[in-house]
Amino acid sequence: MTNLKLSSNAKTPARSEEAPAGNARPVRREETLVPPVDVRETDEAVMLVADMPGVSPETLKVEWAHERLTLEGTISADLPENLISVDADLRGSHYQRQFKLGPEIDSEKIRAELKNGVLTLAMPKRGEHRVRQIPITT
Amino acid sequence: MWFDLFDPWDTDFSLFNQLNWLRSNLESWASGNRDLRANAGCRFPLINVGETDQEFKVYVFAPGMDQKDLEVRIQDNLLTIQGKRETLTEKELEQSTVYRQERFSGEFVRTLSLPDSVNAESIEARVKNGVVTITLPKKAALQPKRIEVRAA
Repeated sequence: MTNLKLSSNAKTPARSEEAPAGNARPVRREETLVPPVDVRETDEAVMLVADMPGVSPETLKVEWAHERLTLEGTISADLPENLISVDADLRGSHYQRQFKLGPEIDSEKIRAELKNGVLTLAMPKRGEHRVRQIPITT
Repeated sequence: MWFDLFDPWDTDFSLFNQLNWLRSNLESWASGNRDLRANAGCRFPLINVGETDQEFKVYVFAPGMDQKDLEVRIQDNLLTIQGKRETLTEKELEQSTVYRQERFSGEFVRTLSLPDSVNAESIEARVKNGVVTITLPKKAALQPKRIEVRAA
């Protein structure tokens, strides 16, 4: 049997790697969850969609720095006090993933939306980097 | 020939498939009480199960889905979650170049067998932030009882 690693972030820190004092049971090191993503590019923008179930706007962090995009989030759930884990596919409560993106992204104009645990990022490209169709003349 | 079945160079029985076979069997040995219909190798939606003295709690991680996309059924101690999720619309596919498609797309069914029977009448399912929480109260007869010790 494994620990249900879905902790309410109010009670336990997101990535506690040490067993709390006085706890006789060994605590399994929590896995960092890597959210699966879809990435597509349109003429105007690069779109990223990430599955981050359990994450609320308050526990989500999207950061853009040095041409790196970092997604971070913590699952917030209200678990009953005396809950014992029976079976767990998901063995962590903290998501993290990083991507590198070129200077063509207009970082000022990135828009993020979180709905039903799905994060959608629209990252518009700067005007000079947009795809232009070149007409072919005969 | 019979040994063709075990040809190590046969792509259908490659190392990858052997590992997969081993993994799925290890899973079934590790949890021998799983129902035949409970598919252990399924990766969507991810499910965590916990219990207290009074109830079972099933957490279904189904991002991007709401009530109308999901069906939750119970038959004795078998809980089935069925649904469909479309990630990219045809229009989006047409208008863009897709570089990565890691998110699950399509129809899914997952069944899990709960260790005990539950009180099917009072099951409750709620969805929030893409996580469905299903609360299944245990039958009163199965709940542990506290026996009061009295002075003689």
